[in-house]
Amino acid sequence: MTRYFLTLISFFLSLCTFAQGESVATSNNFMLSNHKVFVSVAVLTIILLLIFSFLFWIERRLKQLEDRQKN
Amino acid sequence: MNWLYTKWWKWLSAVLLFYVVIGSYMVPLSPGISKIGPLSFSPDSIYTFTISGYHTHFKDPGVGKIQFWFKSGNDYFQAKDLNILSANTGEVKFGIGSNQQDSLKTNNFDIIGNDDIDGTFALREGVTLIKASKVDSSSTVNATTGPVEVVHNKHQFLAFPYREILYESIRNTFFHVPMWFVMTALVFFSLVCSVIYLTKGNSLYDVFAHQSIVAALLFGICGLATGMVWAKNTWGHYWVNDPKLNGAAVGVMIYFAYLVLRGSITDEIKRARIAAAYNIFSLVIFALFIYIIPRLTDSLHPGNGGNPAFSKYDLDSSLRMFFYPASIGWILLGFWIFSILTRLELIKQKQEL
Amino acid sequence: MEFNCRQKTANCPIFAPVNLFSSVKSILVKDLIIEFRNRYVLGGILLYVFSSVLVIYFALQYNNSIQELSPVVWSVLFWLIILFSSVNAIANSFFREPEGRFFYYYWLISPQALILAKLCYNFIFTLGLSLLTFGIFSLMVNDPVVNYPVFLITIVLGGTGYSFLFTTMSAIASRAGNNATLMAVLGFPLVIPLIIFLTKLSAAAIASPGFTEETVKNIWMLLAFNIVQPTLALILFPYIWRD
Repeated sequence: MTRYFLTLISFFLSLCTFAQGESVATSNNFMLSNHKVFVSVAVLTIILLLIFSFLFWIERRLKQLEDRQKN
Repeated sequence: MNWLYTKWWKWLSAVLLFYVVIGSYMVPLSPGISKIGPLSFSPDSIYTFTISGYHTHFKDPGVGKIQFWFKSGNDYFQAKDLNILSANTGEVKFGIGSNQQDSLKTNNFDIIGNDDIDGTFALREGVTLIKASKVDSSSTVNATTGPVEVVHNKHQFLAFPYREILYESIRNTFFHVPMWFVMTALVFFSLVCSVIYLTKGNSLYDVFAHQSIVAALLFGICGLATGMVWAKNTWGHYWVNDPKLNGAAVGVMIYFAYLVLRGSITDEIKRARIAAAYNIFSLVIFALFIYIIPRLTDSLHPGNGGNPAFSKYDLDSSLRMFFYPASIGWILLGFWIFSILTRLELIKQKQEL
Repeated sequence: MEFNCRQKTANCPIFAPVNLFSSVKSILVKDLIIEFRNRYVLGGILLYVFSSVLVIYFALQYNNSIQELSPVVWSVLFWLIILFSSVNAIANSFFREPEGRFFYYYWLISPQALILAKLCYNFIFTLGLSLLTFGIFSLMVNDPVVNYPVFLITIVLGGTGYSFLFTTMSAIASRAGNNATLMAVLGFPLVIPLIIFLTKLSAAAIASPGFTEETVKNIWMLLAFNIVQPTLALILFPYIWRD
């Protein structure tokens, strides 16, 4: 599980290299014209995903512990 | 008690926060003018000003008539000979006669533009007039206060308000501000639990009060961190002398002291009672501090000391569309973390028995 | 053990129920007498004030002359000296009492009477301390105050605020194992609002004669703090005290 997550994170971290590149302004929307915004959103989404999966994982562990205590 | 174990509101918080994070980054800022050159001009000659727009659509087909005005006081002077270079840049010609200079209310001109797609957009105090020492009566240059013909005042797409200083960082509203909401909610929840503990004596409420303070501290630190990054980018320093900042720092300090106090008493019942007493005492003093002092002294924060709140600029409710879900989402996340801490503590207590 | 003290004294035939006022008075008188007899504690506090003023005096020596203090710096130094000396003085009020004596009080009087007596005693003590600090400070450093009415009101309100806050904190800290560091940790964040208003008021007393609108507003704020604190202390002390 940990290895899987690390691979995923390192993959998305590698996206940061694209964030530095010069990009042509295709639209006049600053945030969308250079595709850096997608990198930011991707990184933020990953962070949120990690937080929530961690919280749900803890939730499951707590449930197990509570059940064990009941019996 | 059962609500600690139900799942639906935890999922709700996850959904809301994903909506906020992804959605808020996809919404652009509303049109504005980012810069103009030259920055100053003198009377009696025609200047060519290059205006750089931000998220404007000068080249779009449906743009209609693009107009620019130079505004001083309440006078709108029309800019002439508009030359559109790209979607975001245009050149206009403007000059003012020295016989007009004394009737101006101010030397600083606001630049205001309008077209059918972008609506009205402006740059406050963009250009300064350097007055001539004497009036040249032979001058032919004369600025006219042309009629203001506007079809659309509002921009035709969903966008966040364009504010100087803030710019794109206005999205931090959905992260920084709710952190304080969460902290306040948890701290008041802890106060209620402490009062219930002192009146009823049920040790469950002591666990609630303690763990909600821990969760509140977590969010308080996050609020300070997001605020500091924002302050560096807008006000120029990580820490400025602002009553709200100082109040926040004091609040975080008080609750660390609360944890220290809990740590220094070993007897459980005594600890619960004294910690509850300190919690109530400090929160009342702190509430006095944080709600009264910022109202007496000036604050840099929006909505204080003569600074308008964000709601004033949020004409089409685009901020509200994300701000309310963000607040609810973060508060639910705060209580989720609180519920996890509480359940863990309850398990620990049962284990010890 | 959830019944209150009045019932307890009624159950116990040895002690007759005592009314609040007379018990407050007797504890207060007892504390003052102890303070007077134990002169080395009083002397210690006086020496503390004197030596901190001396430290500031020598710290201000620069190029063989004393540095001029701006009103704000003067009032900050002044209130900091009072802060530290009153913390030290008030810490004694609960720490000094041995465990057994609290048990004895517990049988004799209501907790409200005890906290009221302690608040009154510390108020008198801190007020004396502030006036004394002002005396020594103006003698050794300088006395820039022009507006004595405002300054006296500030000293009274400041002394009240400090004494009320630290009495409560000392009560809490004494239950948590007589830890003097804990008292500072608990009290200092809460003293910040007081310090803000006190420096503002005393700087105003130095700068200008007469009552400005700002001064009156600050005095009301301090009064509000000074009403809220003892009220909370009265409500919460029975819970702190009970074993």
